[in-house]
Amino acid sequence: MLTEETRQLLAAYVDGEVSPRQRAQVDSLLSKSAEARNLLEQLQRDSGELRAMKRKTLPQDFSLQVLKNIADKKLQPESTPPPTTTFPAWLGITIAVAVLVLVTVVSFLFFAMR
Amino acid sequence: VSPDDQRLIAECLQGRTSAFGELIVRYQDRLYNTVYRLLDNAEDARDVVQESFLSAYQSLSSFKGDSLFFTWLYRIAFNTAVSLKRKQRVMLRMQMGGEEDTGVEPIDLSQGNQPGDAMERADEERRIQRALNRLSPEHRVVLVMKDIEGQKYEVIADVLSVPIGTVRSRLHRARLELRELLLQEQNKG
Repeated sequence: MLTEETRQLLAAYVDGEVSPRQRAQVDSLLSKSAEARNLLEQLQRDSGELRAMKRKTLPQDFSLQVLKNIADKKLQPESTPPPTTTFPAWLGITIAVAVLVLVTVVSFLFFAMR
Repeated sequence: VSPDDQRLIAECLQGRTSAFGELIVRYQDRLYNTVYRLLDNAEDARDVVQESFLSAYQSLSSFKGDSLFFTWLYRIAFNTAVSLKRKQRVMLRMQMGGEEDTGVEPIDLSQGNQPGDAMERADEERRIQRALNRLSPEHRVVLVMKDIEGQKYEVIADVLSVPIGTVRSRLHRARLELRELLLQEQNKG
């Protein structure tokens, strides 16, 4: 009975996704285990059958139908929004401090002159 | 992105809609074949591909060109297909009063009068498609993209927005799961 780890390794072998060490491990396993040989052969056959499946196609005029749909719905490529100008934090803090100082000075002058 | 695709995209953004038609012709069948194998329903697959091209057209300016145009299209189609499946599952649950979808779609009956080999081949395909339908969606999509479409791991990972390692392990598990399902099919027959 093959372990789950061995089964995963054989599946990886189908895709050629094994390291040289793993390849040697699989080769050794294949020489000893008929069950492993059988599973690998079936996995390779399954992959081949998937590749051999008949390709499905759309009618020739499909593109015209999509273009008509675009025209009927009056679709347009949306324009990318302009990049938002980021307001640097240091500038915000500087302005806040400047406003605070200004208010303090004006208040001081206002009360001092009364 | 290929220079030719880039040129067609640029022309399209400048208002030449027929350039988009050329992009559709170029990719419609590859996209359709993949979606068809994911959904196993010609009409749904066609709707998904149509919807995907409309979405792609509208968001064309957001295509940055850092991946292949086809990969970008594929991602849109995959998300559209997933969302369609989700809607259908909800509809089915509402109609059946909470019963789960068995995942097996009606088979294509258009193979009526095919002689010998072709008919056997069609039977074989139906058997594989039934097994594919019973795979979980994340296993089905990696098998379809790898074996049927011959895509590379990098492309699959990009489309599904998952790490390459995840694609690899899903693919290996999918192969083993498919084997089990085909064995069950064989024992049933």
